[in-house]
Amino acid sequence: MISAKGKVLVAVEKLRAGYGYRIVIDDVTFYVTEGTFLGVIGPNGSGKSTLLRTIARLIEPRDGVVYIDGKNLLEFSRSELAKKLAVVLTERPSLRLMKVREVVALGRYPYTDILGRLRREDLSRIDEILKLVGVEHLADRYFEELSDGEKQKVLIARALAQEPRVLILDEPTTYLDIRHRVEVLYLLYRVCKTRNIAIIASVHDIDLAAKFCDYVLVLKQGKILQVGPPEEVLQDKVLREVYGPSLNIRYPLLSPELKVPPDERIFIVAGAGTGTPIYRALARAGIGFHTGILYQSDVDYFVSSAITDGVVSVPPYEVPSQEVIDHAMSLIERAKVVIDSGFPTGSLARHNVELLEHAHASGKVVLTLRESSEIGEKVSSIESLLMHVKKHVST
Amino acid sequence: MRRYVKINLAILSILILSCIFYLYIGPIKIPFTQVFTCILTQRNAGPCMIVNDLRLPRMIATIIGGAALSIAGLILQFLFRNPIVGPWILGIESGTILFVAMVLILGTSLNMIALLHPWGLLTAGVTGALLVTLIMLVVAAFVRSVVTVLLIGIMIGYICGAITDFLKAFAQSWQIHALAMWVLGTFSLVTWHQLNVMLPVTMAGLMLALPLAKPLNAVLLGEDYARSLGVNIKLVRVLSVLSASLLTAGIIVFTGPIAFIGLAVPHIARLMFKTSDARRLLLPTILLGALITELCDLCARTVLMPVELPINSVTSLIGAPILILLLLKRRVEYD
Repeated sequence: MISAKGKVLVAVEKLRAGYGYRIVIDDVTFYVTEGTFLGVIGPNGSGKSTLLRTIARLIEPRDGVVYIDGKNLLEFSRSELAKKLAVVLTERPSLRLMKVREVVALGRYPYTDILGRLRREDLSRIDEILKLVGVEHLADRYFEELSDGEKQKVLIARALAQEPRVLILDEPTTYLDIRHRVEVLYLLYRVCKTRNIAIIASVHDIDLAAKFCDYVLVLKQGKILQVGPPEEVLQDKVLREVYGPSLNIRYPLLSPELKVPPDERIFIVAGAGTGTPIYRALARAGIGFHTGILYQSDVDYFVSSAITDGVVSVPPYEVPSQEVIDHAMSLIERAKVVIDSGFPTGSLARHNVELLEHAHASGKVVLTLRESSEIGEKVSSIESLLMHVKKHVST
Repeated sequence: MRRYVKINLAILSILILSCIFYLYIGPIKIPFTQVFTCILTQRNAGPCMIVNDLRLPRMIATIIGGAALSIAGLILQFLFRNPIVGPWILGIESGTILFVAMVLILGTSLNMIALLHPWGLLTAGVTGALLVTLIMLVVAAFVRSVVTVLLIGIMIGYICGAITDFLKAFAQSWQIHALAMWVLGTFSLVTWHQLNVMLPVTMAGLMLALPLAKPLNAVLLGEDYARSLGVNIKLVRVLSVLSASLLTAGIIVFTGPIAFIGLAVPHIARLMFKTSDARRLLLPTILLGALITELCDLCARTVLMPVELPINSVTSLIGAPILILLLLKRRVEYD
């Protein structure tokens, strides 16, 4: 299913697994080649953790086979598998009085003798990995003193110290701030490419998955809904199917918006991203709106269509037909307040300028965020715009 | 690493010094030089009898006993992933006592004197220790809260104690006396004959503990992480329980329960060396366990000379505050 070049490191075939009598994942088949970062996406309870834990042999499969580097997972000896496959789990170990270097050294477990003595080679590997992960400055700090983001990097370093060919991570970005989320994912991406290993990670941030994962696998109720490059897989239809119709995520922004019902009393003339802050401020205040006329390539279109159904749009760079313009005009005639977002008035926005003129001519309240404008009442900020809108809508 | 060696050497030197003190100080004054000639000549007459047959075996018992109980505590703390457990607090010592009392009372009533041989008592004690440790492992698997595990351990201790008392109803007066002395906990009853059993059993327990240090370190990460590193969790558990039981029962069958040593010493070692690496904690735990137990017994013998204090009142005075401190410190995480 995944058709990148290179050796297949993880082959999952017709896998079925679960706990007790409950089958959590069923009929899951996919392949991951070396140097590939696969993100597993799906809502809570869709079987992401079960899938990852089965591949890591923490749960026995009920049916089907997992091959790691061409060999059946169940045929590996413990230490053999530990040299091939490493994990980073959701549970955060509490490691009192353990220095970062010691935590990473635990990853050398399959390579050390019965007394766990570290040879010179082990020590140089540990140093190398501390540097690779970018935590060498923390090496002599105590693990417990670190921030969540730093801890996660150290746990990734610990896993890499096993020198695995396959790295499995269960929600590696949970609990982290946005900076550390990006750092951790970028780190994984880099490690994946430089060490030519296969990485399988469950990721909750769809937008970040789309940026860092070579492939995404979408799970729904224990079955694969889609596998492929994020650009192909993370389409509106798939997202709606996985997360349900109430979640307002639109490709390609992939970040959810608040939903509000369309309100005929407000019409926003926008474009080129100038409408986005207004849409979000109104949605936050629970105020619906109509907006237009937007090209379907405009960021304003992606955001507003996630927030409301009241969007008048045309295909990218197509001149709006008279029908569309008439529709927008009729919406404006029904509106109490028309907002001018301050969109750039190039020739491709001529129809929107006409809409504003029409609003002015028909005596509507026009609020404008434009620096200098002959049409409408000037408002200086989104905040004061919101106040004006509330005043007009309530009377 | 250099600091590590230095501190260990320092503890070792203090241990040797305290050994000399231990042999020298006592209710009966024996000149310093004579103590040495007694040990070297191995005579058993007059004051030499006191040195060679009373003080020396007792001193060796405190050293072996302290080391063994401390290592047992260390293993349990790693196994339970919980720094406030020990053989005493988990009820393992009470389990041992119950089984030894059973053998002692039933054995003599049934005229099976063979059971009273040190090895017989040991077998009974190890069985009791194993049973309680296994029960506590099951409890710990279901109960998350550290405090609850501790309370259940103490309750199991009480239950074992109650059954032991119940058994006393069937005992003859000399047995009750022997039991009472022994249950109080003392190193004074240890003979050379018993040391011959204590030493090999402790060594066996230690030999088991040595290769456990590596997997126990990995267990600190949590069970799943340990498994992903290639640790055979079940085997590690079985061997740890066996080792801790041997190390606990092998001592207290002869000395009675010794409180807090197994809990406090690994802690002191941890704080002293600022590490949780089991491999690096083994040696300091052995040395500190020996030293602290020996010093406690020295205090017990000499503070109110010629009256002897129970060793447990001394170890509890040191150990209990440490436990309280640890519980207070951990409250935030476990409530």
